[in-house]
Amino acid sequence: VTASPADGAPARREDVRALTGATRFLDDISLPGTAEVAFVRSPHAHARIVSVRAPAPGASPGLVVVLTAASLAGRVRPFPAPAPEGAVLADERHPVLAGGEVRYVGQPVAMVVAATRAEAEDAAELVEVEYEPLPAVVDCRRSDLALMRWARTAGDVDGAFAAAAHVVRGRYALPRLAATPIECRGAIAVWDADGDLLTVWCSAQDPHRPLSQLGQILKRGPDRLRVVVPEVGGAFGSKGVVAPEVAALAAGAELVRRPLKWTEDRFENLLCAYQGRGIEGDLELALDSEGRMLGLRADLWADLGGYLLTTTAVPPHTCAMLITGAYEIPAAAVKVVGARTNKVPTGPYRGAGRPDAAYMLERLVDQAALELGVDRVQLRRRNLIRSWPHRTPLGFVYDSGDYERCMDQALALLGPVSAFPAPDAALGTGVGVYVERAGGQWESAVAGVAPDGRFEIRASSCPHGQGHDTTFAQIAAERLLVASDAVALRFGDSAESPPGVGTFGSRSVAVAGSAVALAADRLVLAGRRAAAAALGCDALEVVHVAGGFRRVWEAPGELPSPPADAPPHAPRLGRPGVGDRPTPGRGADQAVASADPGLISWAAVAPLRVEARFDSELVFSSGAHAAAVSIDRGTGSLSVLRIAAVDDAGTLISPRLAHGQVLGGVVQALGECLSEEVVHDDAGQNLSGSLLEYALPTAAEVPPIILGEVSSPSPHNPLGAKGAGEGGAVGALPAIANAVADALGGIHLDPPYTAQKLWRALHPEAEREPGAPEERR
Amino acid sequence: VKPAPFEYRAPSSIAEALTWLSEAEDAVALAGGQSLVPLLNLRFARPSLVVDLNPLAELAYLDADAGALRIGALTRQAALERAPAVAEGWPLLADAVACVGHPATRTRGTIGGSVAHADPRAELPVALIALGARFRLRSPGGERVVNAGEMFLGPMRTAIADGELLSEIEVPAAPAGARMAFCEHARTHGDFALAGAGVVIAPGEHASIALLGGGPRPVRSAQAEAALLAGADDRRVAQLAAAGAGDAHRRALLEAVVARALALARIRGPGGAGPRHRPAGWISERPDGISERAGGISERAGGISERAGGISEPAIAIEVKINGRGYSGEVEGRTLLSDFIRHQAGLTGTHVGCEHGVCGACTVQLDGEPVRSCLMLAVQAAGRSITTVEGLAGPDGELSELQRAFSAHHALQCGFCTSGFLISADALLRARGDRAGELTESEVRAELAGNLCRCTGYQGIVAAVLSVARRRAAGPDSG
Repeated sequence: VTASPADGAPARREDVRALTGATRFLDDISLPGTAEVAFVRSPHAHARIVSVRAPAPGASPGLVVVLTAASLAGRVRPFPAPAPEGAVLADERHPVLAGGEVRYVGQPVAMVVAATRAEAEDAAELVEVEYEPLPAVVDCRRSDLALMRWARTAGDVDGAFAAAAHVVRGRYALPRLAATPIECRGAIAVWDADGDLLTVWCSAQDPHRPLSQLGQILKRGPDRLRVVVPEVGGAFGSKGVVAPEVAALAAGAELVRRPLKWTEDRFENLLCAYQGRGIEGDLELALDSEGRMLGLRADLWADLGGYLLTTTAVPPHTCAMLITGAYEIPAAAVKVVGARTNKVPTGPYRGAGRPDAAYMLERLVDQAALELGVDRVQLRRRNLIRSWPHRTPLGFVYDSGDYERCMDQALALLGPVSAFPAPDAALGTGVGVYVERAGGQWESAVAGVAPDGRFEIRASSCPHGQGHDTTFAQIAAERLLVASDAVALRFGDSAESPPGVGTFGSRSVAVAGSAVALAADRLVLAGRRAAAAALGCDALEVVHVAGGFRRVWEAPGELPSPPADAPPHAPRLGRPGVGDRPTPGRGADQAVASADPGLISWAAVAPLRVEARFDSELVFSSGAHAAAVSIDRGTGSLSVLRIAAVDDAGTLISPRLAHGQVLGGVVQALGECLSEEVVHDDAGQNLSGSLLEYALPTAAEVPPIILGEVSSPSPHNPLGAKGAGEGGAVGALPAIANAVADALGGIHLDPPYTAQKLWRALHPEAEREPGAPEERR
Repeated sequence: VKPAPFEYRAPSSIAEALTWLSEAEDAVALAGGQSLVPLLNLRFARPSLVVDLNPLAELAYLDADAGALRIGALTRQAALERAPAVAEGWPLLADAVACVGHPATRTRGTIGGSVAHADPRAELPVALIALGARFRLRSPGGERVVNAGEMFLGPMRTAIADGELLSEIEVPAAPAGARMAFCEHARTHGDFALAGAGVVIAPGEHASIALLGGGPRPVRSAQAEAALLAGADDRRVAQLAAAGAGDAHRRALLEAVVARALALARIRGPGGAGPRHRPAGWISERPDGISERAGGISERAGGISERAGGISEPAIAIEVKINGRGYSGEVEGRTLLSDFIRHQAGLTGTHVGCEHGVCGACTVQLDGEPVRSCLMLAVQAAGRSITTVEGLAGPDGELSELQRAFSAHHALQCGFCTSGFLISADALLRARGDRAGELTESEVRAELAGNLCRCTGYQGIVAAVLSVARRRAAGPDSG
């Protein structure tokens, strides 16, 4: 654990609200006249709907109405599903409510509206749906339909394999995972007949994507649709696409003409929220006699579920593009089949393709070391990328990094394996090196100062636990030369937020933070111009100092100097030519002018308001994690003894918050290794429907986690920032997986590393026993 | 998920409870509710009538005066865990009860409820079988006693007949010089066990080995017991005990837990001195979590509404003190305490994360004890005193030491689980009082394992709680 300051002032601006229970989450919002909903869901993995018979209003206390696909006909379209670059998608988009067919257990068929949630559940029991069951596909390799296909070959792959001294192969699989934010999803929808305005409060990662998705589903422009994101109790990727239930709620609010509320419960969340991972791969690595990597082939199979949601195709695409990882591999051929199966769709979950790629490649590298009889670290050292920018064969341009240093630091922090005592246990260590795609696309911000001298920043990116309020205020305050307290942040309401793309993929600081920085810079520029007008001089003669502006020759001390930690390359500041200028000093001018007649205060130039948009190149975070594990030979029980995590997210704005992201991500990877797995039976029934089956790690399972730090600033933004949100979940997975294989003497197993699985690997003789049934937990 | 409608009744005597339970075929008795309320919430259990045994204070007692241990069926698991007489005389039982769920479920969960529910993965039935307990059943016609070997018939099935109520469990005194222990293997801390074993050894005289996970019900292994008495080594005994399980890995788990339990029993010595199976859980000066009900329930006249299912459910007026302030409202029998606090009292700082008692987000303090508010009916809180996260700061809004430490150690990100953690940690620190400084990191981790956080990786939370514990140990002047 990183050192903490003495208990004193709150570490984050968000904290006091949360610590006193004052935070407003979705279900905490209560509008007068609200009716609540419950959903009738498919009990079958695949079936034809023969008929739906709904009870009449009055048949059940509190019942208002039951809405089906027929009630919404003509009012809604299926979910939008744009193709990631180069991908071909089938037109199999998720419907709002199921019409003629259901394709997974839990798919919403009817929405029951009643006075209370309990009464809605009462009435839902009276809805009669007749199904004609159809065969279900649960194994993605046996699917007869690809929802998504993507393939790319770059470099002379066949030549590389023909010339190879060694070819190493591996087959890898990651199970489906449930994101499991402690706050489930939910929404409130209100339709105002007067202006035909539909307002949707939604537990989401940002307002922009719900606005766009609901806009397309409901055929409503942003002038007739408003999305408000209240405070959000975690998402981890799972709240980036609105739930089909939310689309039904939004459509229903107009029909029912009263506010409707859906608070998802945990059972719905585990059954019906889109899941993560669920990917398999057959990989081949060609190496020369010196252990240099020559080429890589990967056939990836993604279990995408019954339909495409808006981002269902994204994680396998990201996995494919990152499959060459941190290594200099000149040639690669990758093929992705995103198979339709009779399960809830998948989508982004923390890492969203990045852990998948790191897991498969890093296991393959360890396998190569084993087969070649060389040291795992030396094999990596021989092949790690050492200069940046680096163009990968598949087309990513890694902007910056120092992968070897990350690896060395992680190994040093882990310490020697002899440090871990182990009576009757198999010990192992492992390391995983990763590269993480972050940044990309754009965000915007509005900065203003009011006549009372208070600053307001409206950021397009909105938080769901990360601490944007603290971090963005710090970015702006440093540029405005004021205390953070003087800067108020607003986000989350599409009616007042500047436009943006969204909060996902470790992009908030690098992209939205840069937009905030740019907006703050422009506000300073606007302030200088206004001060110049007041002083009757040219803006060039006005400098920005703490508290306001003054003429350059009156400024006490020196001019603000350029920041000492400026990025190595000239930053590209947003769209060129729109008021760009050199950034002012981060080392704030300490001169404080009080009651100084030469000082033009911010209040004197207020009100001012400026906008900025920041377009971001992709930036590539990286890192290396190392883990030591112990497997009890008697029970097969896995203990992760220690994890060292070194993440290079470029320049860190709030190191403690960034470290908090790493710790949280590492423990999600730990859960993925210890116990997390969504299990479906052969009929497609989800056997992981409660937190008793889907076991999350508790505080008692978490080992010491030692954080290191390497910082290679990105040249692509004024902050030098990359992304910190996912690295923890990306690096720890291959590190633990490699440590487990090491402990097992090289035997490969896929996570989760349950006691049963590990015990069987340690006791192969037991496998031969007749009649040993496969246990389902 | 919300329970289907049912009628709620609070009896004033065992006789009245028995009468009511026999009135409706699908009536159920509600004890601690830690298993029944999740089933109600999921509508897997759909009784028309719920008879709440909690008002029957005469069923909550622990009595070890006469050599044997007499446990009233309504005794809370926490009371058993805290009783020095149990730790001294029946340490196996103390081991087992510490493995049942988490602090905030043990304050409500009862011994009788765990026995009557007969979950094959539950620890207490196994421990009681190992100790040769006898079960006293009351019925309108009188009472009978069922021996350990005849009580558990299969998963969720016991010898308790319709119209009968488990009233007492009698655990005989251990043979002189007996050593005993319980050990288990579970995926995560506090999760249901995959395998467990309770053992009692008095060399040459008595051997008892009861297994969890060895079959559909808790059983003793006669073969292993005979071998143990005959002087076989522990490894052989463990192998014999596990031999009946069908799956090879299950056998390995059973062997491991039997061997561990035997080893623990031997180091421990007679009389329960020596190490516990895992760090002692909840420790409190209070004798029991049950307080007198202050008569806060009244049936509202004329408030009866006809339900769809033909069940008439009167609205019930209750009054609950929350954070020192009285809140009154009308609830249905099925209204969960979490919903009453959030939506009727309007105190939305308590969050709902699972409604089956696993995540801990909804934890509140009931008369100072942590409880899951999603596993209590609102009507059960009538007349009681509740503390929620809104009640932790000082009257002037000044954050408590624990709240400040959470912020300083970055123990929260999204904040959704935070109120449950604060409530649990506050209860832990207060219960430990002067001895809070002795809390180790692994104890804090185990005590907080009943609260799930998905953001922080728990590191900041553990650090914050430890920092307050250390400061308390150092005295108020030092920090």
